[in-house]
Amino acid sequence: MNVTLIDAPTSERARLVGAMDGYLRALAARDPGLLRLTPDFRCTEDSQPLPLGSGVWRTVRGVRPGGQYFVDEQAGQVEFWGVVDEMGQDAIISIRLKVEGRVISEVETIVTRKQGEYFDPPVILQDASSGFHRTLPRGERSSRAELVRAANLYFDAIELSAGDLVPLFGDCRRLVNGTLDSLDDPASLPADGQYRALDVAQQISDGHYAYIEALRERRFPVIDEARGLVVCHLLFDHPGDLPRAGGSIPFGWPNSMLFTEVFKVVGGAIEEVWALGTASLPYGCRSGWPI
Amino acid sequence: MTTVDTEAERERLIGMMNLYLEALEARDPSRIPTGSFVRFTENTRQIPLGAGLWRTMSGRHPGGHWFADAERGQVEYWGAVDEMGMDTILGVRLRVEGRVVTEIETVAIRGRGSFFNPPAVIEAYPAFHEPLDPSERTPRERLVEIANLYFDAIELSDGSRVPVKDDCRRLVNGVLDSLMDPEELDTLEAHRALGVSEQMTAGHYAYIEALRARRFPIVDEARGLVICHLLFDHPGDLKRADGERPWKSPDSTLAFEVFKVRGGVLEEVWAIGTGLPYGIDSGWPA
Repeated sequence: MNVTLIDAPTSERARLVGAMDGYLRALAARDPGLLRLTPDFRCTEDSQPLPLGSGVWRTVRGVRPGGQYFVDEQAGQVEFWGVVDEMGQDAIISIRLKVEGRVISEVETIVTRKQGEYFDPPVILQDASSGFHRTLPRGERSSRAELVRAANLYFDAIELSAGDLVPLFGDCRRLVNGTLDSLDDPASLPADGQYRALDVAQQISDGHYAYIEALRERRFPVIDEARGLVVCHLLFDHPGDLPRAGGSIPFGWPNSMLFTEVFKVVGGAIEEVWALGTASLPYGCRSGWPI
Repeated sequence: MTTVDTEAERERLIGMMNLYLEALEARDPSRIPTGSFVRFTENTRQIPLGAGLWRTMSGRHPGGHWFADAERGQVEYWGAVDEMGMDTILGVRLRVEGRVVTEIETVAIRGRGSFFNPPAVIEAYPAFHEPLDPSERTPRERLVEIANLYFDAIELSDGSRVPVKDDCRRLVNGVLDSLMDPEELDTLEAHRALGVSEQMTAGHYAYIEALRARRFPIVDEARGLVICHLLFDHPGDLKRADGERPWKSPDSTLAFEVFKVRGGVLEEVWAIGTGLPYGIDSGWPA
């Protein structure tokens, strides 16, 4: 296999997607030598700095076809969401690359392994080109600053249990690790999960996320104005002593979780939210990247 | 602290630990004399004192084990707490300088499954803490060396490297992990009936790639005890002797281990530890 050179095929977007595909080929081959890296290259997996070739590079046994690409031509960043075979088990993976010229300077990987009910890899692989990835008419687009603001308001709303802070479509869907987490069919939900049938704003205002104390270290590595997409990487802090609406306390012990979330913003309002997150990390964990 | 009466200093350090535990139980960090600066970590991450377990702590189970190094002003406690209705194994290390606490390192183990037995961690075991006859004692440097040889032997699957008694017991989170009754074990756990040296040499720990960032905060020559804090790296692609991969995804585990050494030979090993993201640092300089 040849070393991946990041050349300009047809557009900067295609070039960045090509860079990601080259990375995925190298990952599937478990051969980091196929990549060209900057001298100051940095790599993290689930927040920890690792040498390239370590971590999931050793346990990966295949990359499933399909997945989602998010591209910021202006920032030279591309993020992929997909599914890998990790020693015979599916794991959802998010990979962010920063490309400088023809070489890679940053790789940030988040691996989501099966635990609990929030894990649906096939959904991550679905073709969403006509929906989530569709290009918006100019009249429905938001500026970069407006996209970041919408995402920030969403997280502020959760922190403050005030759904009215954030502009949302009433039928906004949220998918967490591929699993529907809003407007779900009540008949399919257990008694303590009925809030997942509510819309996003009501879930927030009713305090169903009051057990989350902080959504911190927010970064916005990928912004795509044409598609109305903004990617945020952040940490959820669950101190373990805060009840949600109804009085139950999720977790019961302190932990933090690293997430990547993508918002589809149409005409200034959030139409859909997709989130991927790790299992619990030590409480207070940092992202491994500057804010 | 330089002192001639190490036993008196040991008692003072244990008193400081008890003060810490009382403050933790009361969820009131202001009760701890911290002076101008204190560094606090929980499961490797530096967080403000009063965060983490300080918020979820619901009560402390009586008992546990205290270890002290009077020469270095270090004291460590292993016990179990009630955390929002669930048992958690807790390890706490304090560094005491004069009358103040300057370092607090904690490990909180919320593990469930087969390697999690909090009642055994708090069970009294006086023999482990009894001072040794002077003829059976080992100098500080050699105690550290023996602990290092134990970890080297695991890394290299070579039990002959470490001086260890045939009847050496290892307890992991309170669960016996050597010399078990074979009848209690299924086929995948049969190696737990072997002796420690034999387990290593046969490659039953070959899935552990590195035992890194070893620190030895507490050495007690009088009792033949040495404590090591370290990280286990489980890359997830390595097999043990029976071909199994206990971890199929990358993991690093923070562990506190204490070794009882008598006459220069390892007599017993206790370990407590918790799984963390692969490659994590301890939060403390090596």
